[in-house]
Order: sequence, then C-alpha cells, then structure tokens
Amino acid sequence: MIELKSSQQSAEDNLAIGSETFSSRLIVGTGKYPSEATAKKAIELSGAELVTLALKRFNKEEKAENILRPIGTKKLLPNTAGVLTAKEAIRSAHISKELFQTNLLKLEIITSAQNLDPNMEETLKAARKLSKDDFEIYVYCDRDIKNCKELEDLGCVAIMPLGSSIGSGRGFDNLSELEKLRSEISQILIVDAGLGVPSEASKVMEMGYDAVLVNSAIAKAKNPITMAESFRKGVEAGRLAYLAGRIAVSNKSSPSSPTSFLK
Amino acid sequence: MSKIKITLNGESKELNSKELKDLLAEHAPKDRPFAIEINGIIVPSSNFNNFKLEHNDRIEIIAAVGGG
Repeated sequence: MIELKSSQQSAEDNLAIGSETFSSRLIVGTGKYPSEATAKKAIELSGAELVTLALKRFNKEEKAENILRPIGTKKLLPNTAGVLTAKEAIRSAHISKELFQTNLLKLEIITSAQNLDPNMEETLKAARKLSKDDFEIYVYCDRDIKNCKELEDLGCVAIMPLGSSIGSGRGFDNLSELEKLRSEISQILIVDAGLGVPSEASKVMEMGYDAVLVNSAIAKAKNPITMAESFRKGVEAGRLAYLAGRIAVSNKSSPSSPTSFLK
Repeated sequence: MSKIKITLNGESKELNSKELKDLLAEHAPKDRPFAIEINGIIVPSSNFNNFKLEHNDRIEIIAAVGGG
C-alpha cells in the first residue's frame, strides 16, 4: 500500500499488468460509437492507455471506418470477441498477434450469439493452450472462485470477471461474489462488462479491484464524450478511496462534533 | 492463362492471377493493417509478394474493428 501525503501522490500509483505499466486504471473498448470523431474524443477524455478492439473479415464494400485512427497511439488489447470455442479463440489470438504485432490478448469466449456470458469450459481450455504460447492473457470470465483461481494459476496476467451481461448496463448481478473474489485472488482483477454508470466503477475500485473495462456504457451514452470523462473520474475516486482506507462500518452513531452545547 | 477458383472470405471467386499480391491489390484495405489466412494458416506479410495461390484455397482477409 502506498502512503498518500496529498492527491499528488496518486500520480505514482501505477498499474503493472504483465510486462506493461499504466497510470490509468480505466480500459476502454472501441465498439458501438456513433462516429469516429466521437470515439476519438471519448477515448482521449477517458484517459485510458489500453484499449480493446476486435477482428473481422474485411469487406471493401462495407466501407467500415478504420478503428485504428481514433485509437491513436494507445496500447492495443485485441479481443477474441465473437468466438464460441477454444479452437476459434486460439486462431483469433494468432491472427491478432500477426496483425497488431502484440502478445497482449483479451481472451473472450461467449456462450452463444444470444448469450454473451463466458463459456468457462472453452475459456479454460484456450487459456491452458495460449498460456504456453507467449501471450499475456487478460481473460473475461465468470465470478466462480475455482475458475478464477485456475486462470490465475495458468499465468493469465489479468482476471476479468463480468459485473453483469455484456452491454446490459445493469451494473452488478452479484456484488458480494465480486467482493469475495477480491479476497481470494491476488492476481490483477478487473471488472469487465455490464457496468452502466461511474459509481459502479467507483464501487469495485473501492473494493480493491485493480481496474475496470468499459465499452457500451460510454459508447452508447447520450453523450459518450462526457460519460468517458465521468468514468475516468469515477475510477480515480474509487481508487483513491481504496488507498485512503474507509472507516469501519458501525451500527452505532459516532459524533464528529461536540455532543453538548457550551458546556 | 487459366483461371483459378478460390474462396475469399467465404465467397467463391474466379481469379485470373495466381499471385496473392494481385488479389490483395483488389480486395485488401489500403488504409489499415490486415492479416491473411490461407487454409487456416497465417501468411506473414513478408511473404505476400511471392505467394502463389492454388485451386480451392480458402483465403481470409482480416482487419481490426471496434470491440469491447
């Protein structure tokens, strides 16, 4: 735990994940933005230094925007998004490595096209293989302690349980499970998916989570640029509160002023 | 020159040239990096210029998109 002397001290509170070090604890996605210009400004104002992106067949007829333009010089975290099996995830991982010249990887294997919750059997299978192939794996997973511990033991550099379903904006399906995980897992823990508002990001940061990953809550907000800034502040506030240490919770009142007048 | 039949991103195509670079000149993005997979094997970009396609090759051109 670092000693805080002033808010200036927080500048030294870096986040080391695998071989990388970041000063921001907010990771943002790049999907669903209404325009390239909005994405660019939102990503900038989020303060994020690590951004996720995905792979797709390139079809020149679709005239898709070049997502790398708004990302600029941020560090890339390619996501295996859209895959349903370990085999597909491994294929996606190797294509990403060739395409982006990075060994950082977000391993995400969903259950079906309709149910985007993680398929843990396939995720564990892929992690067992990819952890031997020089990837730094950030793994999207459920909140099951046994699964998360196995992913930690396999050497995944970040364990990323979902808050709630991807893109739902529901926040937390089970906050106490997330809290329990923090006490059981010593590896980097990041809440990925389902957050809707910055107070939820603050909440998990106060609990000692190392970072949060947000996409839809920013990109689909009425004003994505302002929401990006609000998430940055929410993450910072939560982290500072964690470092500062909250007071003990009590059922009794405890005066912060004199309890009698002029005596 | 005989034509060759391939599958590009899941769609059948007939090509006049066996050169991968000719296919890429027409179908690959000009403004962003991309990766090529042929029959499930990644072709390093250093091999693009001298790679010869064969009948029934399954070719994928893959690029980055937004994602979470």
